Amino acid sequence: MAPKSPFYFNNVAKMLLVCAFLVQSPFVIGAPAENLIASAQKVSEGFITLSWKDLGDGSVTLQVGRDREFDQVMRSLQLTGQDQVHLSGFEDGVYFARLLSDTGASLSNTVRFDVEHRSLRSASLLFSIGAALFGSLVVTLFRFTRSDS
Amino acid sequence: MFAAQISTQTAIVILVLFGLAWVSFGWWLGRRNRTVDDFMLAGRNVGLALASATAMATWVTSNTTLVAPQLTYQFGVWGMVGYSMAALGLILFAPMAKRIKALMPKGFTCGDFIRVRYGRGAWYVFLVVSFCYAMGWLISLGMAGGILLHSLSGLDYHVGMTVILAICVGYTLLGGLKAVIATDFIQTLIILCGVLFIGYVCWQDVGLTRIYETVSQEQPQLLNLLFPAAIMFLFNNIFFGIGEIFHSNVWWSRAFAFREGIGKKAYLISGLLWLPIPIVTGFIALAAPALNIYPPSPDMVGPLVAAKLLGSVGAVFVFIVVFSALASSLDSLLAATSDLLTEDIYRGILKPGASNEHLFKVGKWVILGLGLLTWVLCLPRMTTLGELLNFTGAFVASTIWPIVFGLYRPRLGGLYAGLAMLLGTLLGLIAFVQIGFYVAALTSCLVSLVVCLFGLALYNEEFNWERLQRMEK
Repeated sequence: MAPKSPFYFNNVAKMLLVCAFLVQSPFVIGAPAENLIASAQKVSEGFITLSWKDLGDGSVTLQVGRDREFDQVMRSLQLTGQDQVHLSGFEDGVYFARLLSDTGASLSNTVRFDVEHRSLRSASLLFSIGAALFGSLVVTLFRFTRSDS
Repeated sequence: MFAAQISTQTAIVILVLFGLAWVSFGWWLGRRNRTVDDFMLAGRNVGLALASATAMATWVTSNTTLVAPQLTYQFGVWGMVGYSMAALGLILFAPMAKRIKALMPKGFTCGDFIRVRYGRGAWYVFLVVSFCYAMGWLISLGMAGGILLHSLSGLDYHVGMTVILAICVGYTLLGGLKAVIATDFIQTLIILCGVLFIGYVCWQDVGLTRIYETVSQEQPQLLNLLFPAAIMFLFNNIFFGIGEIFHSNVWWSRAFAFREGIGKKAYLISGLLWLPIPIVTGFIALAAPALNIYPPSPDMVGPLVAAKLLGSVGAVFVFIVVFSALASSLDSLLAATSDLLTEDIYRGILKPGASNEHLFKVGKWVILGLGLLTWVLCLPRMTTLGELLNFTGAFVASTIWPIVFGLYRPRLGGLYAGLAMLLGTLLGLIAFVQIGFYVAALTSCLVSLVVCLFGLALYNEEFNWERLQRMEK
């Protein structure tokens, strides 16, 4: 069998590199780039920061919905000159977000984030401890100040 | 660029004009400073009007103008109410200011008190706590300057932060506490009028009904009074505010600087005047969705809403108000932290025999160094203002009980006071990491109380108050 020419190895190496790039790259043909990022996947305070890149300073529409198909759009925000937005006040639930152009074309991937607030029981416990501690401080200071004067 | 902003050139012109005005005023006020008492404590002769104004203006800071809207935007009604409860710190400190002046008529810093009252071990812990807090607050103020300018004019964060820091360092360096207090008085008038005007315009132009409808539709959790994280935040913020005031040399140096019999009234008046301000600044954040404002970062919501409400001319007004709020705190903190470092670290540890004239010069170098350090730490915009400030909550809340017991009860020993601050801070930081920033101060304060109660039960020696009068070394 004749030895392979250097040209042959060169082409194989190039093909392998292209394959590796296609596997690694988020820019898969037919799907929008992975350019929309959520600051967290699980949120327990009801607020989140969504950021994006490579979209310039133009206007974009950020849609937030309750399902991946965006049949139920909860918020549709026109944003200009921003590359991130901080949203707050979400109730418990699963949310999806994506970016659209002015013409409605998709500009980003869809991100999912889950909002699950902390339990009211543990919050009430901390509230009660705080109230008791504050009451003790006020009473202590009042008594000390009275005895001082 | 956002929709409602001033041009970068206008922002620079205002900065230059304000910078020149404050620095010249600082130089004019400080030209007769001759002693360390003049520079650090304004001659210990500040009257009621200036005393109330400086206490209020110092407490109206980036926290109030930028973080109160941030916390309302994140935690809703409880965020707004919880923030205003920080006024309790000033109100509860009022009787303590009287006691401090009576116990230590010749005192310079809160560090002096801890050293004489509890000994060196607790003093070292206290200095670490106090310095960490002071740096956290200084960084937050520097960052706030950059964020403010960027929000309103698009000016680069680093440029805005650098210029605001340079101006405040400039006039504090030239005028000392006298300049800080005098500029605070003018800044208080600007802040009060400005905040009330913006709140009024928001109420008139947007209206309560529209705000309520938009928030309940887009951010329903903000109106929920059983919002778990917000409920946790409420008392945490109260203890954070109380800890900040009880331990910080910003407030102690004023207690020493105020004329005899003034401190209690001044702190009470300033607390009552301050109480409604975060409600107003927080309220405007709730108008954000009604005005189609969705900020890139939560700490930008206040200036963005105000600028949109008032238009581009109004943005200039907003800029001046927030700039005044920032400057009034930044200068106070620079002066007070410099006093602490000069008096406690330099004279207390490095050069015990230093003369007052020598300290006068060292104090100025320390202000310059602090300004430089703050600038370096502000360069990478590490986190949001709210999170940075609440991180320091774990430190300051641990000092509340050791200071209260230390001022009024002779039985708490230095070992327990030091342990209370150390363990309170450590467990507060663990809570900060494990649960969230809204529980750090509460945890720290609780742990500190438990240690102090053990100390009171186990320690039998009584402290002699005259040692504070004599300012023993």
